[in-house]
Amino acid sequence: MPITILQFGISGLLISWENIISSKTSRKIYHFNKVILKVFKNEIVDSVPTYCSLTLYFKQSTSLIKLKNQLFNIYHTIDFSTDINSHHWKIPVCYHPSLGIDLVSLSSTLKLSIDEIILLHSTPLYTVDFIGFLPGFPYLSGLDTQLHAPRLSSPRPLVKKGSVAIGGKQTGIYANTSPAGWNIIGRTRFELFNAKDINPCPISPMDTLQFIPITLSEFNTA
Amino acid sequence: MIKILSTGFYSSIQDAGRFGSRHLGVPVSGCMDLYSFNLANALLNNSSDCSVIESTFIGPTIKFLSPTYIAITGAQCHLLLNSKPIQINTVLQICKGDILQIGKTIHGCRNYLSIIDGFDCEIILDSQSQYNGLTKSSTLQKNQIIVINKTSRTIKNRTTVKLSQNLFTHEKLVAFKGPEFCLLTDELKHKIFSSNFNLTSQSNRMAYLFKQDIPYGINDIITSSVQAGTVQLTPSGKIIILMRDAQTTGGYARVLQLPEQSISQLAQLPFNKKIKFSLED
Repeated sequence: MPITILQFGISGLLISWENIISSKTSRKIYHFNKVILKVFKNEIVDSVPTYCSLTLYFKQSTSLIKLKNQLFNIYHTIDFSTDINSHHWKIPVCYHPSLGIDLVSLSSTLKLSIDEIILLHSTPLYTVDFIGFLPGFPYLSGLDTQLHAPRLSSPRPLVKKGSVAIGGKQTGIYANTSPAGWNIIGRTRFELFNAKDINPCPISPMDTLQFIPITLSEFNTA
Repeated sequence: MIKILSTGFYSSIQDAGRFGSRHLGVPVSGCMDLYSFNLANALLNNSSDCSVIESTFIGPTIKFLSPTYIAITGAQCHLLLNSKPIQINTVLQICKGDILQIGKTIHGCRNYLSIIDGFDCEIILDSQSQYNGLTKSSTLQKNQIIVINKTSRTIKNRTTVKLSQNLFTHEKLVAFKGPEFCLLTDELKHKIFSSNFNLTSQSNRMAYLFKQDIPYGINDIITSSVQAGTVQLTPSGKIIILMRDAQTTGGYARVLQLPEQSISQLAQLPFNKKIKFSLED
């Protein structure tokens, strides 16, 4: 399926792929983004990849109409089979009900024991599709369908930094204290975002990620 | 240096915005009313990225610990220097010990205080704009001391700008089509462009919410990018307009996109006041 390119905002171009979440699309977006960032490094201000779109924000003096054609041309020259140099992350998570405050209710909603939830959540190899929403929040794919669970009917005003959660078909980690509408099942001390680091967000799109269960005493001494 | 004697209702250091980190989920932030921000810096011949103090409804009271030049722009408001009324949209020469009070707004709701060559606050990811979780605090603090950038510049020709009051009372809000505009039924389009929308007090620098819902909305989209000025329509028919502290991605349909001028106009819209969308191609 061909891509579409649409102006979005005063200096943005929204490039869209077919409206489905797939690893094939994620790979295409990854490679395209990488090439574009090199070719237009003097014109681009920000580039935001998501599941099936890539938004490029340009300096306001850039002529977007001219760019559109260039982008189409570049897209057709890219080799999407190139290897991706991705990193694998092991995230220690304590799934104790005192930290995973929705584990008990989720267990009855899903008709699974807490141990089964922990096993199903810590077995898959997740892919980081992109970082979005708030600083350092990774959008992950690969959640076991048995763990798909509705969001809370009303969001909590504040959840603790490092909360690991399930919302709909997605799972993620709250990088900072924030409002949240997902079911909290555990917590990690892994630092997802530090604005003062040279690389504030160590996890990148296309990285793989696994949750490693730890005990409450391991969590407390970590 | 300056000292914050009282902070006002909601005051923060802001600049043109934090660019280059949106792929890490970092919002752009920056001044809500970029028009007034640019004017505040232009009056002092500052570079366009100098940081300013943005205040909301009631501004801060500030003591100047060194002589300098300042300008105040934005909402029409009560302004006092050493208890004497002063003008908005002009250059003011400040002596050591002077006390400035930015009082209640009359028309509009945000003010901008620029200072010659800008404030020297912590720079996080290339910007001084205060944002929760990135900078030490998200607002000015009582008794906080703020450093001014060193400068030997003085200002001889003091420009004053006269602005029309209409700037703050326009109800018509110009909007362009957003990425999901094509998903709107004719009935929804009619509702959106014929209704008045009153701003609720739950609105903030991240998003504006409105009192009126339309009878029904459209389905969520697969999470994609959003930006300041994105007008979202939720499945239950709520209209949300994202502002400068907007999250980088979102899952509601993006039915309209506001131009810069409309975002600045909204930044000055008080709670309960109404707007009406006007579509332009």
